[in-house]
Amino acid sequence: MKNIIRLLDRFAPVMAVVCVLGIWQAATWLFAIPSFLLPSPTSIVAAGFGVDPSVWIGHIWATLRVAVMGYALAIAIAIPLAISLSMSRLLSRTLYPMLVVIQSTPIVAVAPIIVVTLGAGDMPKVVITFLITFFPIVVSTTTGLLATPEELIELSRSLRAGRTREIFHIRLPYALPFLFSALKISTTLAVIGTVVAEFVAAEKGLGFFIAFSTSFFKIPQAFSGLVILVLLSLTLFRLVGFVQKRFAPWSLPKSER
Amino acid sequence: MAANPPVIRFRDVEQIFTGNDGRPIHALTGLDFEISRHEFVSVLGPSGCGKSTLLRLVSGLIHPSAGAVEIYGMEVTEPRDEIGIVFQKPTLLPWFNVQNNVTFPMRHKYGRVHKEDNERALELLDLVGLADFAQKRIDELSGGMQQRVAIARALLLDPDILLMDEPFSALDALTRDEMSFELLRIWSERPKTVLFITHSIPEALLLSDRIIVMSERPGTVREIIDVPFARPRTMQTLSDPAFTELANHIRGELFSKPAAA
Repeated sequence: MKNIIRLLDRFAPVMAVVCVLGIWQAATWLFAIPSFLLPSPTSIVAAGFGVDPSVWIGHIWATLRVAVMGYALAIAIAIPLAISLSMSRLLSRTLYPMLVVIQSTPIVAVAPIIVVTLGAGDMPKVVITFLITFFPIVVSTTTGLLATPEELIELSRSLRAGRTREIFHIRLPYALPFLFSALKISTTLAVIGTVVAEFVAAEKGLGFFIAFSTSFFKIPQAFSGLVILVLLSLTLFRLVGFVQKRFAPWSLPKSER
Repeated sequence: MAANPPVIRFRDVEQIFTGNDGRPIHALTGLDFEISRHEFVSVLGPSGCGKSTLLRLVSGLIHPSAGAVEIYGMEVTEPRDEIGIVFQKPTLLPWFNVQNNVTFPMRHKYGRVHKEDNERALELLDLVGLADFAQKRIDELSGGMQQRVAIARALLLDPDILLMDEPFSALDALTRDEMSFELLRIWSERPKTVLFITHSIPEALLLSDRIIVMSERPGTVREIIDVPFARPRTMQTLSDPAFTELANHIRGELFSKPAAA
């Protein structure tokens, strides 16, 4: 009995997903829902396999490339920016309001403008992805840098170690838990940003694939694109989690180590 | 005691902060005393009397509004190498193991840790009773053990002066007593000039050569008490009638109204 409960507990998440899929499949069949309204799981899978693997790889690569470039650019700019914000009151007072304005601008509304300004190619898409991902990284990292225990800063000052070492030996490592949680959120945001950009202007990528399939009323095929997108997001998310666990396990709560 | 030159000297020190509302806060006033070499001096007072401010003045992290703090006869204008600090909380670095936490001051100040530093760290860990814990993660240690690591860290650069800011106040009562005796043992093996901030009367009596009893804000010296008990002090010292008597005297000092002046 105990073993059965343990097994149930272990496979509960998987079973829940299987149940939902089963209900979904049964509903589409029982109520004869037309596939352009809600395709059944099996028809989505079938549509997915109907697309040539090389075509899939092309679209996935296009989306992945832009998402990762935008994400990397966001990290490269956000971390130094967060350091400057945490070090200078003047900078944080002048730059912070601007960052909030940028963050408050709906990215979907800005995307067409950016595409017009920056033209075709990866560039505008990378910029759109960057804009949507970098804000959480800046905010979290700044918070983390300022959350360092006061005593450690005093220890550093009493050793006269200098500001640079204070940041790299104490503040930045202390900000890692904050940084990693932002990096995890930002993986999904990066995929969203890329897809938005692809909706606006693209001839490749999963966002384009979904828009294209929808316009030809190939709804199961559009759904299969969606499934791939979700898998892509999840993979990136898990990848960041893996990096954290591998290289900074102390920054995780004890239960997740 | 008088034969040695003062290691730390307060010369009519006054400390005024600007509060959040812009009004001046008179934290310390008229502090004037000396601490000799290898003397163990406790500063005892109600919370908010500026005990920690006093310690920060010695560390050179802040500067007095008036008067001067001197170490070896020189005015303290910036943090100095002769000082090691132990804080209320251990404030260890969770990404380093125990040994690397002890060598951290070396890494932080000079950028690298040499073989001798690691040997020294192991020696200090042995001194604080954690010889077998060098490779442990910080979160595997109890609060008392973490504070022992913090003491070892403060001793790494072999400071002449040890500043301790209520180092045992975050520990449970039993660990706290144990740590007091441990500190006595460590101090007898590595004599240092110690300035020890506390709000525990028995702790101050057990550890110190002298106790500076402070008044409420603005903090000033109410009385300096010579602690007569012979060293080494043990559990028996705690049950000495004179111990209780002196404790009661200090308690009376602390709870009496400010002296009419």
